[in-house]
Amino acid sequence: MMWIHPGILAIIGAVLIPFVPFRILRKALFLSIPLIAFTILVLTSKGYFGELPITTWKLRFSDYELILGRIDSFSIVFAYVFAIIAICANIYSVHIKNDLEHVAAMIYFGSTICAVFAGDLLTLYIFWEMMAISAVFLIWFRGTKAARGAGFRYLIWHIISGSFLLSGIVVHVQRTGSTIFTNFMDLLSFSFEGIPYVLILLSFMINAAVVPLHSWLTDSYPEASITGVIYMNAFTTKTAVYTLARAFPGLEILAWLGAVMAVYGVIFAAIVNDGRRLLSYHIVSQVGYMVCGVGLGTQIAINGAIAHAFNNIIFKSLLFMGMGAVIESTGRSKFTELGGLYKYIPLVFYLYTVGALSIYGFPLFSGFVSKTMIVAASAELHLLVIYLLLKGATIGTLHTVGLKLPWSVWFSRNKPEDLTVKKVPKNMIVAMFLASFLCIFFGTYPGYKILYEILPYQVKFEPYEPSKIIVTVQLFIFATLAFLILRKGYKNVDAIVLDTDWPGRILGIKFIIFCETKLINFARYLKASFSSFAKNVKVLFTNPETTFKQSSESSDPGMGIGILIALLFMLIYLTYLIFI
Amino acid sequence: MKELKMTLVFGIIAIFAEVLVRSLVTYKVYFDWEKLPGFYALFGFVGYVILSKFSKFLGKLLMRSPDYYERRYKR
Repeated sequence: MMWIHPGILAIIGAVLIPFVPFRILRKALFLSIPLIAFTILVLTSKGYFGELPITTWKLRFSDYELILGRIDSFSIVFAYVFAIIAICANIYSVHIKNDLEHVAAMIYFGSTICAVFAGDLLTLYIFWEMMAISAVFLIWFRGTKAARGAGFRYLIWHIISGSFLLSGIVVHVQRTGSTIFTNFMDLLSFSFEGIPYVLILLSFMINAAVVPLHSWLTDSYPEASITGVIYMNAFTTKTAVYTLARAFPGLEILAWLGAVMAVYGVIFAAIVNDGRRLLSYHIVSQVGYMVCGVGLGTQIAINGAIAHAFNNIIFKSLLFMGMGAVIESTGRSKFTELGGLYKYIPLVFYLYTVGALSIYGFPLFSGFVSKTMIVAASAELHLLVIYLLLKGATIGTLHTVGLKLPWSVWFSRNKPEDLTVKKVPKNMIVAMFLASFLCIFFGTYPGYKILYEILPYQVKFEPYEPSKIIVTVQLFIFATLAFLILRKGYKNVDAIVLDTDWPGRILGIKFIIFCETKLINFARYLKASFSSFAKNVKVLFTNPETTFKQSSESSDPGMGIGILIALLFMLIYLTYLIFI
Repeated sequence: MKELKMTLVFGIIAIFAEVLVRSLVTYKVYFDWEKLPGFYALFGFVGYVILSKFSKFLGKLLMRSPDYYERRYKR
């Protein structure tokens, strides 16, 4: 039986949403899109459409063949988790009245699935761009001025990423004649020959938010719409992890960059004042683990990276849902304006805590079974520095997501006087319950066995070893102890934190100011001098007598211009005669 | 103070648990210093202090007022 492409199906479904009559039917369609996609994926891995790997949905595009469906053990894991989180996120956002937001979200979902299943580079490029464009709308639907600016900056970064990808692809296809998206490790070299592959690598690195190319993420995600960010945190960076794992596994520099990212993210998360910005820095940190796993390149490391991407999507979405629920009910996201919410929305706190324990990697929660895999891979290769960076980042994760955020939002002080707490919509709570269930499910038996089962490599790895459990628990307890001791001196400051986008933004602002003042003044000066020149010429050619009298007596302007043009032609003709 | 004491008690239990487990089953270690019982307790505590102090220091360097970019533009 012919395979049905869940991504294309989602895009078609998304476009249909606004045309369906009755709100209830529109909602039903919206909710059913990822469910259908998930069902197709289950049927695919059960062998209903034939043994994996399957290559299908081939289209001709001028001289090239587009492969829309390449389903193998790599791509299907990502497709699975994208579908799962889209189910949760759709439940979370079903109360939104603006249908176009649903359309953007589902096109984003569909194009992500298509990008993951893309078997050739051109298809990948098409959906790579489609993801960026549909995601921008999820930012803009927030409707604030900050969101507008952040959306444009997001777009700029992703257009850069897309053009890097396209130029790399064009040269690669010209050189080899093949459009297949496969492992480029043999072709990648930091020389003239390797430029297209470096460009492709850079494009993937921008989308994976590899430091120092990460600023688009921490800039735009906190400004995105409350529900839109759930999709965004799941799709873009993890698709990039997938493409990195497919094209550049075992690239050493990625291991180092990944380990640096892991620590960089948590350090910045410790200073920021906005709840969702803190979580955005944690995307950088967590994707750091995955990029590091891809860079280590051993089978267990790649497995770990993919498993961590899988779990991370779920618990990071849960965390964003928790913070989103806080923003939904209070309208605020800054720590300096929040506090003491435990009395009002305790349930959100408990559900959030499930996500926080998962991201820390506490035993029985999903982060544990995947994070230990990457850390163990680095230890097995005896890469001491990377190992210590990854372990250290764990402490930072606990400090920020586990302690700082809940402390500032739910405890720390009494509720500020002017803060009104509305009820959190029920669907949001349901979605959070579902996500927390999944966090615990994939952290315990049989969930983690199922997860290990669908990973691309068959590697024996047991996370629940006494040493691993004890190490994690000891770290957890003693870091918390340090927090409790240092807590008194801890204060949030209402400020923004400069990041690697600082030079670019300052230059941009300087350029605009330059255009608005100096350039405009120069243009005015030019205009004035040119018009006075023209006036003089005009006067000269109309009535020579008046020129010297400086009178502005009007006369026929057409004639003057005519004479000027005639003179010009004569001059050109003369030059022609003399020189040629 | 109550939480602090509780956490300390849990911490001590965790270290004792490690000593106990080490004597009972084969304990997998990758690096030499992991043979020291309670190493990660120390690592967690010291790591946390370093991390929070360092981020505080970094915050002093990098923090700007919330309308930093807008103000730059208006000027």
